[in-house]
Amino acid sequence: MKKFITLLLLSIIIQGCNTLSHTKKTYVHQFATSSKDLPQYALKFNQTLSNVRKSRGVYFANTLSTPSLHLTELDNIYTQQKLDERKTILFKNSFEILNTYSKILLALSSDAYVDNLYNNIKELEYNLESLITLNNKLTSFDTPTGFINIGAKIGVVSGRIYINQKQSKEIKILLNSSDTLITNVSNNIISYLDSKNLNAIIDNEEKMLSINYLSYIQQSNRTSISNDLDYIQLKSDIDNIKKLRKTLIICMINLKESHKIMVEEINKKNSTIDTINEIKDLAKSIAEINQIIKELN
Amino acid sequence: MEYLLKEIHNSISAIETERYNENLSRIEKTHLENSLITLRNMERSVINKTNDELLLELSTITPSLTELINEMESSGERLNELNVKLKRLINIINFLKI
Repeated sequence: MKKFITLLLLSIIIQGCNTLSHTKKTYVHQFATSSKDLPQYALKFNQTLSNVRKSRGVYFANTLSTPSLHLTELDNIYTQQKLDERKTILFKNSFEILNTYSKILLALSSDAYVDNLYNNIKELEYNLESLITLNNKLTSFDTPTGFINIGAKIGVVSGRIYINQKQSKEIKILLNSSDTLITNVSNNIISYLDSKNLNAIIDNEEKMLSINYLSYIQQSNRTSISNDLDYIQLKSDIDNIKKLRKTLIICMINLKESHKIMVEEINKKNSTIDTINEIKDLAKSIAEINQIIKELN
Repeated sequence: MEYLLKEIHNSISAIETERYNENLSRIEKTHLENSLITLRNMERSVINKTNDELLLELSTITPSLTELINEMESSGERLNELNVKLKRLINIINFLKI
């Protein structure tokens, strides 16, 4: 009995020393929850832009009086659509890295006891490594691989208290070793979204949509109400792409900064703050993105 | 890239204005449609390629546009003003290649 009480006391003391405070775990959980849906935003952004491009192309194809030219243009539109899909995969991959990282953080910062935590993390870890490797192959920008190895350590532990300690320790290791990754991936996304080229492409889609639709009306002499409504929807989609682009840039800046501050606070023995404002800003920008995505639907 | 897209956009816009002219012959209209298709290909190249790849790609498209300009010139004076605009685009691409 004495032995049991001593062991119990020791466990409580060790737990108090090594586990993260509830507040710190809350930061991590809030951060991970906010950034878990990022890939779908990237998907929506590129799909909408591609759809505008395809639709205006079809308007243009319908103005051509020569059937062979009409068909050539439709074939070109299809080729472009395939190319856009490939570009979307490339763009989405950067967001998938952040998403998988968030899933690992969510699993580690969860209060609920997870039976197959080891297997879950091991799988996510494998996914993350694959995504980073793919990203490095597809882009000139290089993100370090082999920086993460949590699953193997957690796998050997048993018992809830010990797992909590291990989770806390691994959150610290993971956050510290991933800050460069998060900064690099975020900067990569920001530089793409904030580029003059992307701005020129969006502006071009907007101008060409009007030219192609005007040409379509002139060619067909009259248009249907349904075509006009489609045109208005495409105009609205372009406006929302512009909004989404700006908000995604803000979101990425917030994500990068909140991660940096979270790492600093986690490393402090006695953190004095209850909330990290940058994580709140991140959640706010995500809420704005969700609103824009709804309008796109 | 921004500048090239703007130039292509201006050329497309000029052709679009011209091609609903009722005085144009069937051949002239076809020339204009072919020019539009070529310009659309140029536009896609600008959108899809990186700067280095782009100039190489545009170099392969410009001869067909030059050929179309020559054909339009030989078909009469009606499209001369438009040809000047298209030649300007080719000159810009040639300048960028240097």
